[in-house]
Amino acid sequence: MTWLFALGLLSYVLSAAFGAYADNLSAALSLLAEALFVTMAVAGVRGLHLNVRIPFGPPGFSLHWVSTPLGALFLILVSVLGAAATIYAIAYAKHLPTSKRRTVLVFAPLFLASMTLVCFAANMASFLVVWEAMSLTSYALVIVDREEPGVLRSGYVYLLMTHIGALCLLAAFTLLSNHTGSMAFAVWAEKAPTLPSGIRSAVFLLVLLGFGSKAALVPLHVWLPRAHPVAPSHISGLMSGVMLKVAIYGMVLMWFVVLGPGPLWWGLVVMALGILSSVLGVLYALAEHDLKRLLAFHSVENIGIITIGLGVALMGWHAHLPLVSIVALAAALYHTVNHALFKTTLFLDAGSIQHAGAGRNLDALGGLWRRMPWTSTSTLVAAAAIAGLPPLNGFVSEWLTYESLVRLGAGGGLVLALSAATGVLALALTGGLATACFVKVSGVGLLGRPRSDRAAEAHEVSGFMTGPALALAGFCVILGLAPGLIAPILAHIAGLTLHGIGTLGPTNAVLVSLPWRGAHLDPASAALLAALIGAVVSLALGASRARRSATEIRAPWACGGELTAAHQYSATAYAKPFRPIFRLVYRPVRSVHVESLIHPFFRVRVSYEGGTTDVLSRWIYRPAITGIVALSRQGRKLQSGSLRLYLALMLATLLLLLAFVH
Amino acid sequence: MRIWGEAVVQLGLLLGLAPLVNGFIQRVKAAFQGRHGPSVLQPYFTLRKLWRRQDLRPQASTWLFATAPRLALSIALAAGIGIPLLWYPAPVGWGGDFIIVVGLLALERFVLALAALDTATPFGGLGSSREVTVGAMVEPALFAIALPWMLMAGGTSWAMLITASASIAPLDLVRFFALVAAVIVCLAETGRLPVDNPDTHLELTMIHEAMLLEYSGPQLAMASLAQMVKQLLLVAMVTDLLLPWRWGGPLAQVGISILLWFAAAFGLAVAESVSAKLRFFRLPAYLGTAVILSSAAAALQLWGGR
Repeated sequence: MTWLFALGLLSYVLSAAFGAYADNLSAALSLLAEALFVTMAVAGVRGLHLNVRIPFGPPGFSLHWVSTPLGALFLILVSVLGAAATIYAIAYAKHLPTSKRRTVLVFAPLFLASMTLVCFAANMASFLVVWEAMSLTSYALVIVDREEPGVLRSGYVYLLMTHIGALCLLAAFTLLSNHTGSMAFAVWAEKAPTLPSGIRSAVFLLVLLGFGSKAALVPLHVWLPRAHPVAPSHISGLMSGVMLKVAIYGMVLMWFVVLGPGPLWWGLVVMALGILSSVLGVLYALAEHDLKRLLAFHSVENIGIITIGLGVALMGWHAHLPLVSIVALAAALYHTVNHALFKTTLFLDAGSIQHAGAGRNLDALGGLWRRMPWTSTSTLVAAAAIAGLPPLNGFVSEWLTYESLVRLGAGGGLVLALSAATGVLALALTGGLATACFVKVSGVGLLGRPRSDRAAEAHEVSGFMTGPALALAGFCVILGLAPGLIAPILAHIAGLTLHGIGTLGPTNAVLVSLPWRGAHLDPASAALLAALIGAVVSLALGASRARRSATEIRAPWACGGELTAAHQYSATAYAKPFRPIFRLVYRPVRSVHVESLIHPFFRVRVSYEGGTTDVLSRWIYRPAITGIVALSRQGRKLQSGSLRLYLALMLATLLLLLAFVH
Repeated sequence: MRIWGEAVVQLGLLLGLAPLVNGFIQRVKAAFQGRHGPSVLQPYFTLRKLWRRQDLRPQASTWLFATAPRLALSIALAAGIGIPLLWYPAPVGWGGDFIIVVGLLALERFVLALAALDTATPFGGLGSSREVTVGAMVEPALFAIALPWMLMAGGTSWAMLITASASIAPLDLVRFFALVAAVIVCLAETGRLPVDNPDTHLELTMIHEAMLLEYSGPQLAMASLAQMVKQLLLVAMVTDLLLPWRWGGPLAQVGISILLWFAAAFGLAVAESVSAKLRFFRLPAYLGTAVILSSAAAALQLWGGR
């Protein structure tokens, strides 16, 4: 195992090294590394474990890598999606200018390697080092197009948010290591449950902030819709599909493995944030017509759904409902896998559409179904999956989340029941809105007539780009039709993660309670049934058509006029009804400007501008930034240039620190 | 084997009765308007007429447009198998689940809304956009109706929900609240007043019909049949959830179920007849009422139960 591990890492590093010179060799090395790590994860399930310790830094410090079942799950995600992105990049990176291509090909393997290592980290030092590496490499990838206006600023916001998060993590880890006297996660897991509750809660909140900013929970999501659209598409796919998941891994690790069961309000806070993220994320996505920004907001939504599951697991653990906890955590993990699959697919497809010359403004797309059949197919499948429709994977994980919520609500206590009810309603609203949004994406983007010349001239992209997207879409179908393939494994991992959850007996007992066991109408048979009925109906139709003339293609009804592409609903118009309905969130603004020769007659030009207001940045970030700037301005007074003052300050600091230590 | 037999019988019942229920509603509405109205069998005649006509397809459309009605009908029927229509109350181990039915209904909406955009016409976009807007609000409302029973039972399968519903008093306040909410949701989901008007083709008001505007012939027949099946499904879901009592042998039980469906259809027709079309942007308040009522029902249930 150690050899596999070393070889895998070496391949990533070599892949990065060759990235600047030999594209194909670099891709091959990346793929080799990904294959090795998938092998490792699978071997981990079979009982082969990795345990590598490298002395590093001051005495007592070391880098420690260990394989765990939970880590193996995320390792598979990183590696499989990494492989898809690597294959995609073979064709995608070709059109980039040389300097940019080199940046992408050098940093992408390093980014993947650091995410891989996060899944293995077994102590504080090894975790924080690779965590930071992950942030920095992804930052480098975000600002690839740095000469474009706004890109550096987006990158800066990302860097800032990610470092605020890293700071919180450092604080949480320091608290833990101080109070347990060790830096190893294993020791923390042993001692943390017995720490004073104040410390545990502080760690819990710091972890929530730290990983929450990386996972893009509302209101810490501001970097995501800025960073994702500007990064190259396969990198957006990796960031959204995998990096956010690594943050989820961190939450699961710290809350469930290390901290153990906590007070009720932990679960309530997590669930409230999850609900906020899922509803606001999908609402913001709905108002968006830039395809990649829209997808970025949907990541916020899906992270919200995952977080609802985590919240339920925490509450169930508190309330001594082991089954609820396990189902909820399994649901969260299932949705994590699913979101990684369909979101990466969608980002890859968005990249293909952009690559084909059609841009990423939904209002300028349309008619791609005929021109880009493969890209369109994978987009449609992933769109239905992310909207949580049967028989695809998104439906299964949302079903499991519902199941855990309902069980929690029935578990006892008014608080649990009310929060479960709120969760169910919020999840249903999110589902409905997501369906609306993805009808918009696939209907306006792919169907109808081309809304611009660029869309009319789009062409299908190379098989290197359609292939990975189709393969991932295929996984979406498989995990939707046959949840039994991975649900038992996820439930098993959930049971192991929720250590000491109680006398549950064999994990299989849990599985009996999952909804499709004993259900005649599981997603697969529903799909089979629909297909059967569809076949019968089609046969009947064919029989009737045989007697009649064939379908005739006619001009559609246009009230007697002639239809052009501009008559179609645009993406903005499509989502228009939601703007007044959810005006509390959107705060829509509109201005109509009329130029006329003699006011108010003889109008020359009427210009209309409409948009939404970002409430969160106005209420949270604007005041925070103003406050920080004002504080810094006060702090500047210290920098007077007087040497004596500086010396006095240093002495004061020293004395303060000494007093603090004693 | 028995399950598949039941499924076939259930399918036949759904397909056979759905147009009749629709005709019945039309007839009741006509009576309210002081007309005699067409025969209750009119929907069958209309479907037969359409089935014999030719299919037309708009120029820009793809295979999605052509297959959507078939898909919608198949999905609605598949959802119909997930609801206990026959052999009631649900035998032990009957695993039909509320969530998969709601999911399949959402899938049907997804398919038809996409097909409407596929026509590349303003009417298609209009209907599609409005339909998904209503749908986004109907989905939580649907869940809300079942919420009191879900929280009681700790599960979402029909057997659990029906048992939970049957376990509280017939004239409980909870049931009354949930019933009012159910009427609101059914009117919205079947495209009836005050949300949509199935009898008009005026672009200002139509929602579902605008989505189907480009369909003709057998395609239109299937799309309309899908809507009728969905209507019967919703009626059956509501009667299953809220009026869960059946007596006698299997045949008598099926008879009671069918009677209850017609009673519920009568209720829907009355509710539609006495309501005026709401402005589209007033709909959230209308559907919100349903959510709040059923949440109140759930809260009542929780307070009373503990």
